[in-house]
Order: sequence, then C-alpha cells, then structure tokens
Amino acid sequence: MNLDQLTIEIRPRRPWEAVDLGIRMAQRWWWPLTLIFILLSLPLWVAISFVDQKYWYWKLLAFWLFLPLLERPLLYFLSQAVFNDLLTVRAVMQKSFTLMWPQSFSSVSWRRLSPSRSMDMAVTVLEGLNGKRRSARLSVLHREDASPATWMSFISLLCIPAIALTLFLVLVQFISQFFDTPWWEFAHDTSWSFFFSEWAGNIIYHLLYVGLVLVTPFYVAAGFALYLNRRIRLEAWDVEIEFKKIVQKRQASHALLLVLFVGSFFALVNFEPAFAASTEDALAEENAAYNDETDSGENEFETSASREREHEEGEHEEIDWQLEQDQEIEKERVMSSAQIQARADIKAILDGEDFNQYEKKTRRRFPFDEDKENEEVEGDEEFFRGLEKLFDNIASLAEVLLWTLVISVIFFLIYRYRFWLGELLPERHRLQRQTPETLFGLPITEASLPDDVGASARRLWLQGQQRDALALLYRACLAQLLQRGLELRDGDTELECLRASKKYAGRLQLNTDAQDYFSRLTGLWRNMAYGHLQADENTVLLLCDQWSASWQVQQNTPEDNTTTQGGEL
Amino acid sequence: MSEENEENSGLSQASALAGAIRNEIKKVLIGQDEVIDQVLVALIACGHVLIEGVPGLGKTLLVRALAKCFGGDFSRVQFTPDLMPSDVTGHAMFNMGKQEFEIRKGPVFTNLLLADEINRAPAKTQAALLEVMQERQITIEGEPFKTGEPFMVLATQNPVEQEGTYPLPEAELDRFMLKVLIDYPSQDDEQNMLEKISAGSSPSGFNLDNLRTLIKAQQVIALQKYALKITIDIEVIKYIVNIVRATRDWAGIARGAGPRASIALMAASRALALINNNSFVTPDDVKSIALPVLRHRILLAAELDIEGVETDDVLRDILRNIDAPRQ
Repeated sequence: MNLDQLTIEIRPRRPWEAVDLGIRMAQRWWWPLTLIFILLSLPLWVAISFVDQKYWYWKLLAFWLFLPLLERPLLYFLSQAVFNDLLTVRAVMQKSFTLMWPQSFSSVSWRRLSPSRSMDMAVTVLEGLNGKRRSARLSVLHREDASPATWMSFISLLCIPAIALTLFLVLVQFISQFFDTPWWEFAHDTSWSFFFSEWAGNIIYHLLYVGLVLVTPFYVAAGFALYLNRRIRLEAWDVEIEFKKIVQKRQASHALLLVLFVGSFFALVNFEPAFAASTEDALAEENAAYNDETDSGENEFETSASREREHEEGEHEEIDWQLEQDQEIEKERVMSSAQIQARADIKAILDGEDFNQYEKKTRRRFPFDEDKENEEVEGDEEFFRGLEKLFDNIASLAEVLLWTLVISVIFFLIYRYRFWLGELLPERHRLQRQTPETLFGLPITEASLPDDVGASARRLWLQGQQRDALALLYRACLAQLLQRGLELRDGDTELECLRASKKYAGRLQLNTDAQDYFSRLTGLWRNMAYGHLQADENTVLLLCDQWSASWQVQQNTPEDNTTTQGGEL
Repeated sequence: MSEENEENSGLSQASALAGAIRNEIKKVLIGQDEVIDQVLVALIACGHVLIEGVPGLGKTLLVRALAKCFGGDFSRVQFTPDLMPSDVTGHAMFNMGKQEFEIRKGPVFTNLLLADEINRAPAKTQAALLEVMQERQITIEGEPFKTGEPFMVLATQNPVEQEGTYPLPEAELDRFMLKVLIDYPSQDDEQNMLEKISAGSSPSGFNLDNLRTLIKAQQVIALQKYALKITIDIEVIKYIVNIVRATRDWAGIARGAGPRASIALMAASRALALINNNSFVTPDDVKSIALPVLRHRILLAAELDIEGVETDDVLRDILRNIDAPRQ
C-alpha cells in the first residue's frame, strides 16, 4: 500500500462526511462502476427473467441473495482507483470470478442480512479475513462510525423501489397520453385494467433492476469510504503521510537524523493504533524482525491480513495494497546507515548526563513506618474491595428486585385481563368466570333458589303473592344468565340486563325461547315493580309453566323448597 | 277500569303529541334526536335548558324550531358584554305625557326565551335571570310581575371561545334543569342534511316556515300537569336520591349536587317516561336522563380536571356502581 499514490485527501472525517466522500467517488467513476455492475448482473437478471412471472418474489429473492457477490468487483475497482491505479473494465471483469468466489456461500446466506454489509465487504474482499479474525477485525471497525453503513443499507432499500415507482409513473404518463387518457384515470379505467395489472407488474419488476443499477455504485462506494475513514482513524494514515513527506524532504537534504529522532520519540510515547490491539499476534509473527530493528511502530500501519494474503496468494500483488513495494521502501529506509548512526546518537544522549542525574536524599526511617505504610496500603485495598463487593451486592439485589417487579407486573396484567385474554383461546380452554353469589344485594346462587322454580312461583302466585312470584322467576332467570357467564354490574337496570342477554345470546347459549321468556318476564316485572300494574294471571302462570323448558333446566325434585322465597326481588 | 282506560288514552295522546313535536323538529335538526328529546323533557318538566356546543351545530336552530312548533310567545336575546339587566327584565320609565312612571316589560315576559350566547354577558346581567328562572316572576321597582305560562329559558353557550366571556355562576347553573351537549352529527346525518338543504328553497339553511305549529301554550301546561301524574315507585325515588347523594361523597368530585338536582332528576324522569309512553318511571328513565341533569351541578376535583377526566365519565362511573332497584 503506497499512501503517496492516494487520489483522495487523507484526513479523519466524520462518518457522514465519509459517506459524502463515497458519493463523490461513485460520481467520479460512475460510468466504469455502472458498466461493471451491468455486465455482471444483467446476465443473471435476464436468466431469472425467463422464470414464470408468477414467481416474481422468488426471482427477486434470488437476485437479492446474489447481490453481495456482484458488488465485490465494484469494490475492487474502487480500491485500486483510490490508489491511482485506474483499472480497465476488462481487467476487472477478468478478475471478477476470483473476487466473487472466496466466502461466497457465507456472503449469500447468513451474512446477507448484515445491515453494515457495504462497510464489511472490504474486510472480506480486500483483506481476505475469515472466521474469528474477521470477527475481531469487524468488532474494531464497528466500534465507531459504523451506523451510517446501516443507514445506507436502509436508504438504498428505500431508494430502489422509489426510483422504480417514479420511473413507472413517468412511463404511465407517457402511455396514458398515447391512449389519450389522463394517467390518474388510467388505473380506474376498467377496460384497461387487465393491461394495467398484467404489464404494470412486469414493468415495475424490470424497473426495480434499473433502480438497483443506479443505486448500487453509490452504495458500494459509500461503504468503502466508511471503511477507509475508519482505517485512517485507526492507523493514522494522515500522520504516516506527513512523516513520509518529511522523510522525503530530509533525505533530499541529507538531514535524516532529526526525522528519525521524531519517529523514535513517537514510538517512545507509546503510540498504539487501535488496530494493533486486535491483530497483535499476527503482527508479532509477521513483523518480529522488522519491529526489532526499527522499534518505531510504523510497521503497524500495514494490516497483518494483507501480509498473510501475500504469503498465501502470491499472485495477488495488485490486491494486497502494494504491500511489497511499500515494505522494500521501509526496509531500505530502516536499514540505512543514517538510521544506525541516529540510534547510536540517541543512545548516547540517553546515556548522557542530562538523563542520568541522581540526587541523594536521606531521612529517618523507623521500623514501624514500614508497617504503617503497608497497613495503609492494605487498608485502602480492603476498603475498595469491600466497596466493590458492596456495589456488586447492591447491583445483584437491584437486579433481583427488577426481575421480580417485571414478573409481578406480567402476572398482574395476565390476571387483570385473564378473561379478555381467554377470548383468544379456543372455547374449551377459556377461563370460566366465577359466578357471584349475590347481585344487587340479593342471593342469586342455585342453592338460594327452589329446586323447581316454576312450581314455586306458581304456588306463590296462587297464594296471592304476585310480586313475590314474579320476583322469584326474575331472580332465577338472572341466576341462569350469570351461571352462563353473563357479566352484570350492580348498576345495571332490567332493560340493560335484557339488552346484554340479547347481545351475548350466542355466547350464553340462549335459545330463542329463553330470550323471549326473559323479554316477557322483564316487561311484566317492570310493570308490576315500578308501575304497580297487575299482571295478567294466565300470562304469569304460563311463564311459571314454561320456565324449565325455556331455560332447559332439569328439575331435581318436584318438592318445593318453601324456605326460599322470591319476595326479596 | 274506565278511569284507567281514560288515563291510558290521555297518556297515549300526550306521548303522541310529544312524538309529533319531536318529528317536526327533526325535519330541520337532523342527527340530534337525543338533544331534541332532552329539550322536550325540560319543556314538559317545567325546566330550563342550557345548550352547549361548538358553533354551527344548530343550537339556535333547535330553539327556533321549538318556538315555531309551539304556539306561544317567543323572545330572543343576544347576550353581549354591554347588555344591562334592565334590557332583559324591563324597567320603569317616566311617561312625560301622562306624567307618571310606567313599566316597560323586557323580553323575558314570554313563554320561550332564547338567551343566545349567555356567557357573553357580565355576571350582573346573567344574575337578572336568577329570579325569573326560579320564581317565574320579575320584580321591577319593587313590584312583582309574573311571566307567561309556560315559561322556559333556553340558553346557549360555546365551550371553545373563552375570551371575553363570563362563566355562569353556580347559582345560575343550578337553575337550569338540564345541560344538553350538542355534538357533531354522523356522516350519514350530515349528508342527509345537505341533501335536504340542496332540495330546499333557502340556500343558506333550513326554512323554518315549513314547520307546523303543533302545540299551544295551554296544551304544554296540560302536558306538564300530566307528567306529574306519572307513577314513581318509592324504590325509584330511593334510587334517584342514592345517585344524587353519591355525587357528594364520590372520590374525584369536589362538590356534589344539591337537593334541587334530586327534584330535577325526578321531574325529568317523569317527563321522559311520558314521552316514552310509559305511565310509570323506571330506573332506565332515571339513568338515561341523569347525565344532563347532573353534569353542570358537580365540580370535579382539581386532579381529575388536570388529568382531563370529563364530568360525564365520573357520572357514568357512579351510575354503574349505584345499585339499581330490585325490590
């Protein structure tokens, strides 16, 4: 990698500024990028277009899956173009298969859904990393400034159908003019509906491809720019370039000593690019000798991945960021006699008087002083350990409490809305509401009613207790409704009970007879209770006789339970 | 038996008359059946009505239509900030020719009084209505004068515009039997309304000239007397009292309704039963008229008011929880 050849300005950028850079790159090399993509993707598109249009979603899915592979040559072209090595379309096409093959299965399967694909693609294609090393590399890259990559995926996903629909609308306007029909009426014109629906689908389908062709170069370039920006930040390319410029100037004037001193000083302040941490082992293996000799840290600007790739795939000189050439320059520089001289000078300075001034101080020291110091240190350590433990315990307790709270809330909500939730379950699994024992302050349980309600009511009526007779019938009806699951409130009036019974007749399994019975009884009861109007005897006796049949209640015994009177109601 | 039949016949006639008025008003006020019923309830129960709704819903039209169906006198006062009490009630004026004071009666000497945008007049002018609404008489220069019989005040107010208005004092609010809320009509009703207007001769609105006069002042008085004969069971009376008393102890209500509310609720329930062709009052009648009777007589606690809880919500809560009579 020769940073001198870069065609872009190297400086740390904000993430969206990097996306802007990518857009500019795509604009600059738009035609070759688009041409490469069309040459690669069009055959595939044409091939899948032969499949029956009714499987259009499968066709789109297939193309969508292979899209990451088609984008790789674009990335390769950009990576070379950035270093002022503008490849021809033919050259890229010749290498396209080599580029698309590595890790192709993972790219079209589980990695296909990665939203930061545009940024990660460079790690796979240019650095050739795989497995854990790829993950470690990505974790470093994603640590900052990666969110725009996700946003770019989202935006491009929106842009493609938007472009397709826009083009479609433009097209429809032209067609409608051709047919002398306003385009907005075109969709409603029934005579053209078949044409519209059949061809609109096909047109939109192909326009999606057009949208894809327009968007993909920008998408790839934006992701690559984000990747470059992240590496510039991590590996301080800008600093390296400045150093190189200084070195070149000094070499020309035979004053390299000062430059090397600055370089050495740079190493002494222990400047460690973040990338070094993630690939430390690899660097150690690859550059051990180099590090020993230079001790300047400059070698860390190269990625271990590129070096590995160089060893494994000797023929990929163009892909490995021109590493070989770069390495030679570095070695030449490092091995120069001037540097050896500089190292000797530095050593002399460090061994000199300025760095070796010693001052002797004396003071009294008692045996207990040492114990006290140790105790203080130990005491502090104890304190901090205890504090840490305390916080740990508090955090654990808070966690337990929070989980308890969450579970309690869930249980409360389930309990609170159990009947409502029960509606979602199949009929046989639904919760049965607990039938209240009293309603409106009156007992309405089965036990509080006589075994044969009809006979008891009839007897009461014939005994002259008309109001009690009707009240007993009405109470028994309410008990039946409640047992069948009708929910009634204390404030519900007779008419509201009647309306509710009719509304939920299906759920309550109320047949027409029971509904009619309850309706007639409610009328009679209201007339008697509030209007003081005497009910017709025959009507009431008929209601008494029909009670069991209408409500389909089995009579246990014919004996009347005289202890239960209906007079309360 | 014949007395009962006669009573039933009278009830049917009274109910039919109320139904006829309702249908006549419905010709011009479309989609507001409940509001029309409530205004008729107030008319039959000798009460006054405060109609509240945003502009353009037909508040004034309702009153004008009622006045058209009603053969008695009708006056309209547009309440404005500079309206004086004497402009409403009347005043004594010195007649130079006769060299004596004579009384010039105000617009309240009528059967139906429309107080349009009542909250635009200052408190002293609003207070001029206090006596006439309760006592149905006006004292001018120390001399009491009776209003026409029947007498009913229909006041309108707009809940949206509060600038330059004077909220009605509690004492005056309490004198209104019902506070009727008029809301937007449904889409079908509004469509139906436009179709009628487009077919009519008046481009700007409904032509009230087409409405018939169906009832005379004496007949209204007869209806009012008939409503007093509607049977009301002691359990229903207890129910009414329980509801009104519940407003005084209910959480979330800072000030409950007074006994005047109980009286109004009973009278309104009777009138509603009459309109529904029932010879007795049922708890359903009470429940269905309870909101208009009580909503302007209670004051919500500040915290509920801040939370945006409506008075009607609290009242519905009360009605759900007060035991309906069953004995």
